[in-house]
Amino acid sequence: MDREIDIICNNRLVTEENELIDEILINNGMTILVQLMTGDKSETEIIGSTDLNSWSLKLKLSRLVEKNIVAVVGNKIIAGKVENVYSLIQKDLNLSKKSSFDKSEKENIAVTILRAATDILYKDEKNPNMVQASFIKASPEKINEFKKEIAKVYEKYVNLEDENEEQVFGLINIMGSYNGTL
Amino acid sequence: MYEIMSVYLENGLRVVIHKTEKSGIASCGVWVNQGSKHEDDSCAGISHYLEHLLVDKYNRNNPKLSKAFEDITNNGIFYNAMTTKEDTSFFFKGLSTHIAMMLRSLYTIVVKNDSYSDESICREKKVVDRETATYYSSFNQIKERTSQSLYGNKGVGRIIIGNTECINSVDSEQLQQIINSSYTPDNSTIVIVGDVEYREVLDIVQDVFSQWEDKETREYSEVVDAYPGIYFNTTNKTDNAILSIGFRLPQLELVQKSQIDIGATILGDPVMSSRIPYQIRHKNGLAYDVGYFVSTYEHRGTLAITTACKSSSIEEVVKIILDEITQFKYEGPSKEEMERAQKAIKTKRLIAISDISNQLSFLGKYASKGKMYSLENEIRTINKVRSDGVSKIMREVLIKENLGIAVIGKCDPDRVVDIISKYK
Repeated sequence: MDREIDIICNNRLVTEENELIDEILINNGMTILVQLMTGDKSETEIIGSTDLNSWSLKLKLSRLVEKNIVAVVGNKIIAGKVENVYSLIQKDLNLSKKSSFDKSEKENIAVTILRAATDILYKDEKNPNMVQASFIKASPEKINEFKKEIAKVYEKYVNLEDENEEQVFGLINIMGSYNGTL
Repeated sequence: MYEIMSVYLENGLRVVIHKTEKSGIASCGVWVNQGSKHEDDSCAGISHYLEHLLVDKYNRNNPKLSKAFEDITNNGIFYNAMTTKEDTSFFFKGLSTHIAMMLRSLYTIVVKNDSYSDESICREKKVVDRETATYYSSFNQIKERTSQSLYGNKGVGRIIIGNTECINSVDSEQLQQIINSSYTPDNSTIVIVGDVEYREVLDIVQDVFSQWEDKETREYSEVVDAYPGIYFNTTNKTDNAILSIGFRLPQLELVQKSQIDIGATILGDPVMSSRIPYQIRHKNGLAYDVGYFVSTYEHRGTLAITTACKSSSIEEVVKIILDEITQFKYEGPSKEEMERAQKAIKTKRLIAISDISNQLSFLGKYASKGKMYSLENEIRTINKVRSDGVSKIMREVLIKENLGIAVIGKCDPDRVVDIISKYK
């Protein structure tokens, strides 16, 4: 008997041929990544913090797992129902190296990140928060200095982390050349 | 009048006997609660592979088994074995006068059968490898892919046949572990249906199966994915596609199952020109095969509409299916549809009841999960189903929160997901 389809001998819920990395990041995938930047999260937690439905979430997550960007690091079982807990493997997503992104795609990504970041960080007005965008005309050398100083400040405060505190604060930096009009 | 005897032997083995009319035929089988839902990724398909070994009459390490099969074959007895998501079963059908032989052979298969020759192990690995390739290259897998989309790679979402890699690495120790922990009396049910006398056949069962040592059964608690989801394989190179839109079902009593069967028939029965086949095939010419299936398991189930279409029609077909389901939820069935579906299901069951093997399978499936349902029961229940009961259960079940989709064929999963996201 002729084969009706090519043999598919795996348990993956999503099997696709395409190299989908760009689509992954542009098409809602980034929303999930931004969620995972704040820590490991279950499906329910991601659904609760985004406007993704469970089918869409499963589709995006399976692609991110397939591309080794995200990993399943545990699960939560409640009343016979299990959901995976996901973690970001690739902590530093360097978009500038993805040459296939055109300008508008990069801007889309930046907008998605900023929107997600403000969603996450700006909900609780009682606690200190800040959303700031700065556009500076400067040489790459100066900006490199700036980057190093930010890294030092980061390190200083990350080292001061108090495990006894319950409140968690998030800080997300995006820096890059800007080709728009100032 | 119909009756079913259900007793337990002292070792915990459940025995179910259903006497039917004088026919001179009897059928018997053993159901062991060991199926793909009891496996994990490291041993996917092992229950089914073990089933192959247990009925390997050429296994040189077990001359008793070879002799049992010789007797069976020489006396015109039919045998078969089957692995499902929840159990493995072995059964015989023959003249009632051979019931003792059939029961002794079942005992040899299930109890006295834990040593397999290297030749047997290697040969059956090759056989299962071919069976696996055939299964995974056919559209038949869509049913199981639907359950996989609804429940994940867990519990009843797991694929029965598993995968070749696992089977090739299975060793005797793993097989022995399953035999020791699952092939136990209190994890098994023996069912006898046919032209038999209760007392007589029970005495034989007691005589043969009381020797089965009462051992501890492995613990199992079923876990499935929290959310129903998706199965997509877009790598098929041809223009053919198959898709299934499924809904999770809760644990069902017989009356609810009959209501679901009727509702599903009205929606998807291809012979009756039901709502969805009419729209997809007869009105729009989008597919040849359109149908439905209802699978029930111990704690849950699946109701699904399946169709084979061109990959370029996938999105259109998905929309049609969901529109028809939505309309059915709000309208409910018409009087004519109810009558037609009831008659169709009743006819199917009456045809089934005429074959003793079907009676055995039906009874065995339920009895092994502690429920005493016979085909006669089901026919009686179908007669009692009313349209408001069908409407109510279908409205409860056909909800967004229960929906999953499985697609094998070239498509854009994001677009398909967008379509199902709009289902209300």
